[in-house]
Amino acid sequence: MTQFPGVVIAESDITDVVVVGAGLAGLAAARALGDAGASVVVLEARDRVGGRTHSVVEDGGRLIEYGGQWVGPTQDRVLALIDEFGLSTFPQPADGDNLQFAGGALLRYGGAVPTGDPVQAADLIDAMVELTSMAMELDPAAPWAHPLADALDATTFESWIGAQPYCDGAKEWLRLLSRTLFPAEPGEISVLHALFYLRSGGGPERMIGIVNSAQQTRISGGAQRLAQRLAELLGSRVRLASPVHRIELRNAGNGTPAGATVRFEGGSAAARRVIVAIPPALAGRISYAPALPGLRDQLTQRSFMGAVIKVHACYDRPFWREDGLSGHATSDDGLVRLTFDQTHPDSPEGMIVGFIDARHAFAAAALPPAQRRAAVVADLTRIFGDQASRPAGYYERSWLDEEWSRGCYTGMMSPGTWTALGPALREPAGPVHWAGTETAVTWNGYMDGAIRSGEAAAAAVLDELGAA
Amino acid sequence: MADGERESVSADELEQALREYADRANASPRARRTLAGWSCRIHVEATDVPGAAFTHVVEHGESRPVSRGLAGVPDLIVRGHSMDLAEIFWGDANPASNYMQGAISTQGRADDVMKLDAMAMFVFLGQ
Repeated sequence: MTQFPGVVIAESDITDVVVVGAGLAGLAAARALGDAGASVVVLEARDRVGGRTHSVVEDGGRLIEYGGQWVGPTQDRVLALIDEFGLSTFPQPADGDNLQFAGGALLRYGGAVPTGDPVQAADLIDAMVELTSMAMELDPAAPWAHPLADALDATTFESWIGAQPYCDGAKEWLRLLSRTLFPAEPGEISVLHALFYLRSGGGPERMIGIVNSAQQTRISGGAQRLAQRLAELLGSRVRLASPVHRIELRNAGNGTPAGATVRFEGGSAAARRVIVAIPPALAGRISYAPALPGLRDQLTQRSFMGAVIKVHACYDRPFWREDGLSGHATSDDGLVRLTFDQTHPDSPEGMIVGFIDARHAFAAAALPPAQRRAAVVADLTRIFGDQASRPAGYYERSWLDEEWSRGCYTGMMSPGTWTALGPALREPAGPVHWAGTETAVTWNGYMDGAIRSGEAAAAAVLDELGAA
Repeated sequence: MADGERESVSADELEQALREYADRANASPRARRTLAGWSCRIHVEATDVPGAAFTHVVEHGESRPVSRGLAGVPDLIVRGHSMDLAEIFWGDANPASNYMQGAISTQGRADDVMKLDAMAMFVFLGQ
């Protein structure tokens, strides 16, 4: 085996496990397999590890987090990895008031739920209580088993929002929640999927805030360091620039899985088992021989990636703090509907990170880069004032255009898919197992979920190999 | 009593604040409606004042009289500095603020935590 591109891995060298994808899920799986004594090769399409985490030091020494970046309480696996690797962290800035731009006006508030308009705030609290209660009734390992699963999976989140007795402002905020959290238009996902995702993360209160919530902590040097450190442990067992095109499955005569040959750009590798640690939507683009079971392929056809463009605007100082603002804002207008203070504690510069999600990402992706930047700066100026109109630096990443992700933060199920095809999400196809944050039961869609999914797939494979 | 530089609220004052808070929650039409089916036994403890521990029982959305001491098996445990707890009970502080989310620790099921927060928010908002 070798990490050098262009060298064919001899099929006579049968590896215990080939892992497809060197994101956190694939690397966590490979690490667990290696620790258990299994031989493993990781094939990564990109020329880097980390998948949907990508931390880059740009001009001027600015660290830009183009992908996933936050960790928070109860994300025990990612927190354990941070601790194991001795990575330092820092708290997401949270001092000061948040801003809500709604109906042409700016309202200041504290906390995760806008309270500038008391009527809207009360409706939002009602919605949070209702969504939390419904989510907690659901088993995230089997959403299709909910007594009302069929009805919940046949109803879009938009239909649910529309049917609630909330004020228009609260309904619009729930649409924003859908776009920024899942991230999808509320008409693209079912209520069941929304509840599954909320349950997986411990409820909306645990997911949308900063303090004691999913946006609480950042990793010094960038979140991609987790994947880089895992890859360092694996060394030459990680092969970059090796996109997998085809997986040929072999079954033993008695119907039990015997192994597979994985064909990638530059070579092939024979393995007793394969873990495909990429989103279902991309896993479905690999060719399989024989073809995958129809239920699994139908599931991949009905799974889609979220649409996100992440933008960063840098300023000579975090000027918003001088006005007692936290840098966290939501907006019902423009492309950027959600912002946070992205300032690094070691830098005198200020930085705002903005998210363009769902259909707004589609609109933004259609713009020429200069026009998109101008629109983003106009959005930030509307929220933070004239000082935001002259950024000293601007960086963006359209995850729609990332060939090996095709979206972010995570993949989702279209309405009706959980109930019709849900078990096919994790059910192995012969020797092929599935990982990736989309398969996680806990913190699905997050870095923590990715690690959990990789470790779960590795455990299942080790069980099979031990029994073989 | 003092915890570092911070002023503490006595156990008696905190008990009174919690009683008034429970009364305001009972008088809140929004809280009564949203929390109508909710029953929960809550233990409230001030971390800086010995003996400042209380039991707050909610039955079908209605707060029962607050009692001194920790009685029964709690569904929720709320801990914090006496001043932070008092400011929430007095309705002076936004319980969902970033500061309070860090200052007050709540242990229990997510839906119980959310409903307790909703009660505090309705009192804060005067809804």
